[in-house]
Amino acid sequence: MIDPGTIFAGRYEVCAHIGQGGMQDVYRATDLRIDQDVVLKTPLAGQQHRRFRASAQIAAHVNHHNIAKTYDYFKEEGIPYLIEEFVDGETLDEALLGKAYYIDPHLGARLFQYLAKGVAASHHANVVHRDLKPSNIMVSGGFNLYSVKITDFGIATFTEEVFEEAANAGDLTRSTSGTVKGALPYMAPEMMFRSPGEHPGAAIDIWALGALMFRMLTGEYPFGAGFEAPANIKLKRRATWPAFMTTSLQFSPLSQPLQELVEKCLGWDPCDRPTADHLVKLCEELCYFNAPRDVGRVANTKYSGAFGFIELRGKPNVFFNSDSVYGDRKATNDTQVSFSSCPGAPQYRAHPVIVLK
Amino acid sequence: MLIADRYEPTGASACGGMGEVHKCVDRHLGRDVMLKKMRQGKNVARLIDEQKALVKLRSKHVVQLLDIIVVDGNFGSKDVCLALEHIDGRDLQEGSWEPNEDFIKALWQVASGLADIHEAGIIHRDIKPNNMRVDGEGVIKILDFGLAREAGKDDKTRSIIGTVGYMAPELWGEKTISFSSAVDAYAFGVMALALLNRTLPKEFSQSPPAPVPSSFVTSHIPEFSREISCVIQDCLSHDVAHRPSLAQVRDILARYILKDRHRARMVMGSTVYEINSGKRDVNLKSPIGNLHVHYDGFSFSVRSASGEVWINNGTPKEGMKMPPACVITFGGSQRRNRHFLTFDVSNPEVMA
Ligand SMILES: Nc1ncnc2c1ncn2[C@@H]1O[C@H](COP(=O)(O)OP(=O)(O)OP(=O)(O)O)[C@@H](O)[C@H]1O
Ligand SMILES: [Mg+2]
Repeated sequence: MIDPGTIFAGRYEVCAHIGQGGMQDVYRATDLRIDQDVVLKTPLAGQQHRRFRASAQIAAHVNHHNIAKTYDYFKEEGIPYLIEEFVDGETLDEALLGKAYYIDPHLGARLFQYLAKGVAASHHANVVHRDLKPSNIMVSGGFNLYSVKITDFGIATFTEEVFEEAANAGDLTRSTSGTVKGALPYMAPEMMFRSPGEHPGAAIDIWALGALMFRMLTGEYPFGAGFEAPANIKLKRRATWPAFMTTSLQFSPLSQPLQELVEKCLGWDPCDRPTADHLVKLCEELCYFNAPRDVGRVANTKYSGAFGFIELRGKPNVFFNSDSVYGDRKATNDTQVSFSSCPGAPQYRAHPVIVLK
Repeated sequence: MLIADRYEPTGASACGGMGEVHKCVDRHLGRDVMLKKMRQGKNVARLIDEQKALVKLRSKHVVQLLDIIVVDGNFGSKDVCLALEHIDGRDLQEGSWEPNEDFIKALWQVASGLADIHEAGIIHRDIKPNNMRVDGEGVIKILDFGLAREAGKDDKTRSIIGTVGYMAPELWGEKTISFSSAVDAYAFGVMALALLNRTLPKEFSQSPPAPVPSSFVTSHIPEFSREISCVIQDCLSHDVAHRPSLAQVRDILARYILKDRHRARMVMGSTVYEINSGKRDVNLKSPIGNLHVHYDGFSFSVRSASGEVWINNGTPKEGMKMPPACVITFGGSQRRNRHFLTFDVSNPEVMA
């Protein structure tokens, strides 16, 4: 572990350890030279770092606001370090599914569009991410999605090597590597069941996006968690969409096209999947309601929950109707909810509302 | 030769307004960066402080600063160089645009970037087409903050600095004058016209610029809708107080980008009504009340209402805008068979 206060390359001062994945340690640091927060990433002790530099260079060629920027790469005492844009927030998993059981289609449509744009930018630079999953996406602003940034493009080829080794060691789907396990639920079939020497292309990122959006919209993995995924994918057995997505006439006009888009991304044949550019176009056509979101507590429900009020610290209570509560969970007294609100008399009215954990 | 042990000049250079710009390869990451030598005659520490202020500004429309280096200049002087991200793309070009939808989108991006800059308390002072670049993803980046100032700090000048044609009239005085973000609004207004493939009258190129008639923008670009013409005309005003903020400009442009692209869905039980640009009116009639909602391309509003009708529990008034998500109620609480309709507006998002 690096001690806080340690300075690298004469300019990056480590502040705190903020995370550890299967291959790298992540620290928050300050770039003293230009006075900005950054992230310092370095391979875990014992990990090979042959390709850390190559992967940093690959990431450095992608420049888009939905991708965490790569700022610097250097070695000190033989150990490589990568400096990247700091995203003041949480991973996609923590930010959304850590708080809600699933997200509503309005939030889903926005998220999909941001991610598609980031992936399109990387594909334009001929960079395939290869390891798109919620822990590689950083979100600030929680349900307001102030920014959504894909990270660890750099690790793409690096991870590739781990996959390659796992594949060579026998069956990729039986690898004991935590990284492989975490990636499986989002891994395209042509990647999962490839023969050594095969190099699946950009369409694997589109599959991963589809799997990731399925999970955000339903709370479920489309093919199960961890090592369940390969078995289900082999049998082409995907989880079904929950009925609540399309039973409400208020939400179905957006849920339906979202489901269609996700299904296109999850095409078995990579050629059947949309390109990232096409996906961006399709996402841009989605109509949704995009108003700021608050988090509040339900109180004072009436008529067995037909309507009620949401308490917001420092603001007057907001009225809600149970029709606006998305999904199969009820907004009973004391539940936390995330919602947008519109003017009404005498109270503002909340819509849409999602129940939080 | 490696500069700062890291940057390798490629030979390509351009002389920007405020010093030389060199394209270099950053050996650490194997990518292009731009090294920009800052103007002389200023305290090095000051220059660095100014750049740090810019870094605090996080906008997707502003070029990213990567490094600040001090190199030995001529005659024992120290030169401050900035390493900036290299934007692979093309500069915005005067005279190259048609007044179409793409153009409005481009202006919206520029206005968004300027609004971000102003929100961070910075005045750019050198807004013009060749200080803007469209990157490979179609995102417009504002470059060259060589003249930028923090508002309220150091916002006075005696020398005439900027680019003729884009400099607001108040910058031309003989005396020391203070200036505000409104100088960027003026430059934005000129740029909005100069980018188009139509010749601008000589009033704009005079030093100082001369005022144009209040109907100028409308007659020069009849294709623009009235509100857009008006806001650009206001940017060009010689009365500083009359110029809009860039946030206002941005919002007006966004409104037009979304024109006719909204949908409102009304659901009652299993009945669905939709209003959009193809069907602009819905007239709900019942023995206990009537409500007529109309879509004008920008928003949904009440055309007429009578009888027992409520919108989010309030009384609808003629001309009132519908809240984007609301409930319409027919029938007062004394009735047993009241009807409820949900009314939801959705639209695509304006996004760079
Ligand atoms: N750019 C960033 N800004 C802020 N926090 C970050 C950034 N990048 C990574 N993190 C944090 O560091 C943590 C660890 O990231 P890391 O990439 O090492 O692991 P992972 O993606 O969760 O797993 P794996 O290595 O198995 O793929 C992340 O979960 C996140 O909290
Ligand atoms: Mg990661």
